Amino acid sequence: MKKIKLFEYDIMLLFLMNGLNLGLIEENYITIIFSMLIGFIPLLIFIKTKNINKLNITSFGNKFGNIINIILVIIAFLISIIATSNLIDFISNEYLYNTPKSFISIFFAIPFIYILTKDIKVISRTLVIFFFIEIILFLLSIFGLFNQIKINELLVFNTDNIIPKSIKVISFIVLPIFFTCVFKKEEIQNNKQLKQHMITTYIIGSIIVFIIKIFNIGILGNDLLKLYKYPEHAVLKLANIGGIINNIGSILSIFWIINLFCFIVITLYYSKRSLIQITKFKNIHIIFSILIFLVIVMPVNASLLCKIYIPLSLIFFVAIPLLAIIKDSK
Amino acid sequence: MKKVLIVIMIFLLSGCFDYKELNNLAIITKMAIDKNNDTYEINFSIENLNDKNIIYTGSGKSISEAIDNIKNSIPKKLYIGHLSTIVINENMAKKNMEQLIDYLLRLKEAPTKAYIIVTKNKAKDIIEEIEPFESNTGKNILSNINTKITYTDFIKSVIKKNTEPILPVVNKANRKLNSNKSIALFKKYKLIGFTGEEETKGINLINNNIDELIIRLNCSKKNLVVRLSNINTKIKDKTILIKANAQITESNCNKNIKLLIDNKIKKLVNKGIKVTEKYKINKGKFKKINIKIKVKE
Repeated sequence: MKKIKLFEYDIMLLFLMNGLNLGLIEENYITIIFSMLIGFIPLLIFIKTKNINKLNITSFGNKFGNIINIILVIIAFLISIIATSNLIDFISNEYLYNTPKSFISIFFAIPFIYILTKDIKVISRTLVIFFFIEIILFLLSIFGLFNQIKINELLVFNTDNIIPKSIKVISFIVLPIFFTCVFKKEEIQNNKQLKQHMITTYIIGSIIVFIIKIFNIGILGNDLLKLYKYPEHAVLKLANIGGIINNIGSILSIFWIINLFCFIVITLYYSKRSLIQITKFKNIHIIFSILIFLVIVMPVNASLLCKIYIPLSLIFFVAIPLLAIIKDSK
Repeated sequence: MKKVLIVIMIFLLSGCFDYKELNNLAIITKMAIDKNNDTYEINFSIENLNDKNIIYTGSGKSISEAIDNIKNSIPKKLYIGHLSTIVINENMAKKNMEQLIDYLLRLKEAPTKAYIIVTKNKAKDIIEEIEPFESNTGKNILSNINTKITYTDFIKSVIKKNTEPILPVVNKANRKLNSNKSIALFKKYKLIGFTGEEETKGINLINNNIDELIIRLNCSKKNLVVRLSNINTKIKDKTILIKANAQITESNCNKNIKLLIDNKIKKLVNKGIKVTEKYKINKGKFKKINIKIKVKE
């Protein structure tokens, strides 16, 4: 069995936490702090849940367990469609506005299909390379923007509808961590430290999300933030490193493209792996590739899918795994 | 299968199919919009290495139509990503500010940091003027302005409750650009008036937009001229605290100079406060003014 390092596992968590952050989360930073604190509850469930497909079968029986597993694959597909449509929309809006969306979709479908023919070791190594590029882009963004934060913009406290807003934030930032539950504990090296690593990475991920939010609100302000489809990109356009390097918004925004790309790869890997476990059919690549191609190229209504995704994720990523753990422990 | 995929990816992911050479781009640095009757006249100042300032003009019933007319008359592709200054005339500021802001927000290439300036003259005359020492045409207008406001700052002030936007004014007289003598006052998207020179100084002092200021004081019917430098304004608990260094440049006076300077600054700031409170430029009301001046003789 090929094992992944704990560090690679941590990187996966970070990508999953930041993948859906672009353009979808408009909430203020108080909601983010509140959500991240509540987010510890699903995180503790995910720490206990490993090899989710097997756990569902042992807890709910073969028939119901498989039905739940298939629903989970559908949700994973749903979330990868949301992320793909967000990625393609972002590129089409900010970079390639003269290029048809279907063209961009095809260009992304090819590397997705290719990378999914590989095993988890290759995927996790690719994620590590992307992670180091991300660190450089993130630090450059911080250096270029930190002197533009206006403190008075951060002093606006709005706690209206904090619970529904927090549920949205949890669904998009915390619950995607569920996709790492597809791994068996034995697949991860030094798995005795897994619990500590997951908690530490979750805290680091939360801080990153929080910093991004602080920069967005501190620079654009709560009111202007709502006017932009991608406020993160609008903020990065203002980056100015040492008064010498300007107009680097498009380069720094690659941070978001990499985030979304890695997020989609992990969710698609979850679907592929689960399908293999459910169907016990190892050569599923061809069917899966056609499916990915169709899903990516198809035009979708992402906002409607987001509304469907939130309740589904709460039920199938939190409630059912919790029930499975309780049943399994009995 | 993998080899076929790799070959396809080499051709498709190279990113060269819609490339644009820098030589084929017309990089816009300044934009002037004049609204007369129902027609928009738009002028683009385009960066060029051989000639300092090339102006292209287009007109139409809407901003997009006017820009389209320029597109048809220029052999290169217009690129607005480096736009630094937008000059609009009084008529445009009175009636069509909302259209301009809407256009800029929808424009995909538009930079977030483009400054807007109002002029009582023709906007085209302002962008045509170029200082002999300046090479970058966009920055030559901006270099002398104290109140620099981007279109995103303008939108912020419009959207925020209890605040109204302002814009700097640049006018042309005797072939010279005059800035910092007036500020354009708005109610939401409509220009409603201009401030005088002293009120402008007051507003700039309150908002910490000014670094250096020369003030002339009356001292026993003689002149006392002081240069204030390193001016720093902080607003805390509705109190304005102004710190500055003062250097006497001309003096025939034996009175308490510090008191004279304090009184003059208070007078300017009070004038500024009157305007800011009347037109809601700053949020809330000010209670107190504290001034700390270090005098160098």
